[in-house]
Amino acid sequence: MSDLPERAIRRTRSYWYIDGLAEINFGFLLILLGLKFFVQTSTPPGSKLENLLNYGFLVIVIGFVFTTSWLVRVAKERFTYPRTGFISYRRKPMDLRAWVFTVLIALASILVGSVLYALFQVWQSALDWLPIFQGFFGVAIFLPLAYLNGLRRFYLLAAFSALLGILFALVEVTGWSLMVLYYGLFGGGLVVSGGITLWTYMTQTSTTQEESNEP
Amino acid sequence: MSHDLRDLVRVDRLIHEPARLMIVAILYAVKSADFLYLRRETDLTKGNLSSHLSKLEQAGYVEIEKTYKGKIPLTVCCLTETGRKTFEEYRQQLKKFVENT
Repeated sequence: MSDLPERAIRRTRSYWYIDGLAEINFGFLLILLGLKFFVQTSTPPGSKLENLLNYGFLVIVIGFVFTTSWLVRVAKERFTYPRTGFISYRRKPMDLRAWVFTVLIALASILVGSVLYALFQVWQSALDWLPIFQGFFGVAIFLPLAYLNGLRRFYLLAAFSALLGILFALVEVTGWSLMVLYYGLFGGGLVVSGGITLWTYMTQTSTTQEESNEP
Repeated sequence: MSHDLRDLVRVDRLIHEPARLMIVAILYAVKSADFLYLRRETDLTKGNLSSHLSKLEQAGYVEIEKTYKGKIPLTVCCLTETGRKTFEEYRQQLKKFVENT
């Protein structure tokens, strides 16, 4: 009885991931990143395309994120909410503590990135470890999500990311090839995971008349 | 009676009922939830859920809004500030009791 409210809260917070749409969205974003790195490898240095990829890609990503976020919302309204109901999440206003924490995380990220960059400049053999760091990217995102939301498939995604990192380290894949392969494969994995989740969700739920929204 | 048991006896009986506890816990985690979501998550019948929601609304813990999404009727529930504070107190009391047992 004592953990009933905690379980209900946790389950409610994980409802956003019930249909796999968020994963599919993120997966396509990573595939887009992989595609960018792939095009970059075959682009002549100093060309207009290379400049577009370097300077314009951020705009492309922001546009992609806004568009796909809108698509996810529309898809949820069309498919998810009529099946299993609608919830609206609270947006807590950021207090001073949250702002300080956010700034500290941003500073720590810049510091870690700078240290790693300097390390790779000085210690070339450290590049061999780059795939491991790359694999850690997916672990850093999905392991906390898995724990906070109690979603087992996110543990699998974190493990998949780590496995990719280890595999690429073993076969000595680095540089642009690493970026293309990692983001392409991990993004593909996310799309597959999200797709299976969506298919399971759609087949296990329905929008029958009994499931009405009136008391 | 021990101090801990006395604290437990003082918990809000309205929230302490398992079905209402589930409803309030769900609403605590969100800004609002519709009737369909609450029904599926609590596995209560329509009548049962309506009855529990009415009791929570009468106590001032929950606000219920009947609206429309296009042509489809929608009943949306949210926790009031009173409901939120009462649930937080309840959680603290329960947590304290379990830790001391």
